[in-house]
Amino acid sequence: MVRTRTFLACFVTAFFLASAGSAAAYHTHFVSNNCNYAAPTPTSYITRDGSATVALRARHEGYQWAGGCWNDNDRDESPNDPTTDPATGGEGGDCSGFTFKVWRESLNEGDAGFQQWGMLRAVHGPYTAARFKAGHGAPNVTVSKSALIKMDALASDSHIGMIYATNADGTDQIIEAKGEAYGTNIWTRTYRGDSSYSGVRRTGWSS
Amino acid sequence: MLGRLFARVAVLVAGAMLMTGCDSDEPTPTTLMNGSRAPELAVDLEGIESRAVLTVVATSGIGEIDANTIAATCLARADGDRVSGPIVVRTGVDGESVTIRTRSTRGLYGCDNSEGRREEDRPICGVAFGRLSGGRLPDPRLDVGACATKDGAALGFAWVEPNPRTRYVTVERNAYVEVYETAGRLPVRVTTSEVEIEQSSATFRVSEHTSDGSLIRRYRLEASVAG
Repeated sequence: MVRTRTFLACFVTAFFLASAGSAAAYHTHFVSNNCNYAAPTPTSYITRDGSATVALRARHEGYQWAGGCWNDNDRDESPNDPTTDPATGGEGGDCSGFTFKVWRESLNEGDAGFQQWGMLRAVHGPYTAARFKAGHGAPNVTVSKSALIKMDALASDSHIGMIYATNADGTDQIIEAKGEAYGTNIWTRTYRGDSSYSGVRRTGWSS
Repeated sequence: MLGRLFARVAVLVAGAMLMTGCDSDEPTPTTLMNGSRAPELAVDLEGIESRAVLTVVATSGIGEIDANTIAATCLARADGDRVSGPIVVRTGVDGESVTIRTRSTRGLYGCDNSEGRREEDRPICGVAFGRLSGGRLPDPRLDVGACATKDGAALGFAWVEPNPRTRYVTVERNAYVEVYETAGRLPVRVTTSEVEIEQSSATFRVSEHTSDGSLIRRYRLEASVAG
């Protein structure tokens, strides 16, 4: 009898703890607790190396579908969010939101100028990977994959990542917001040789 | 505090006005984006009354597409990925769209077009791609940013997955309600003018009806640009 009661007590406790853990993971409130909607700062001198530095700050900071807000403590503060749910408010960008912010683009697609967005500014931007791939928006153009250089991007209809470096064997080190299970990081990829990917460039760099 | 209260009251009033269908003196449009006359709706849709504008839907096979059409443009974009018919082209009051399924049936290509000014000489204002999971779209694949009315008001496009019994999908468009017939067993690409460019999001106020016009369900689709 005592054993049964102990088992039941443990079971109920474990059930509630598991539920609480799950609920916490689904609603980390990272965006509502940390992010802002400050106006971006227009800026004129933007280099590819400078944008690489901006991108590196997002490394290890997680992934959020439709997201675009992160800090810089090398920890995903909302791991295991349900994928493809924009309402979970977790830390990180998705692939296109990350690219938009690193390329410092404008919400106005006709504006090719550079906009400095704070890391904690919650913004995704109007582009999906498919629209980046098609070169939509005044700052963006499609380019031959053989012409791509640092901080240009490779985009498919469902994903986009930027070239951090090119390896001697022709593969690329891509900095990308890959997915909830992977977060944002640099990986060696063969997108350049994949026919579903096209080259995309943000124009207007100072150097 | 007062501002927030005022905003809430404004939203409630606007919602009530839209529910009663007396939000505007603007006449219900009678023509579609391509200049053609909006077809007559054969049934009364429950709760929609006289504000309904029926859009045109055309369904064709891959080999039946005319050059220099939005369908041909969209088919060219999907080149390399083998697609399978039917190709569904929809023409509404201020937007038109194409939906094509990939041959693997795991993806959907979409192309959107509108009357507004567009970048360079692009034949369309937007594109979309949706990956199906278990036969369903986990995300409506919102397209906003470049599509607009001729007056410059932003438009948003997204896919709605109708209930199996649904024959008509409707979307509130302020002074009128745009009505879409289901076709080709494909998600229905619909248009809204309730776009928040700052948030890269849009709202679609949707209802679904059976072939005799009975209401099946009514809901708000809140969509965000993603992926």
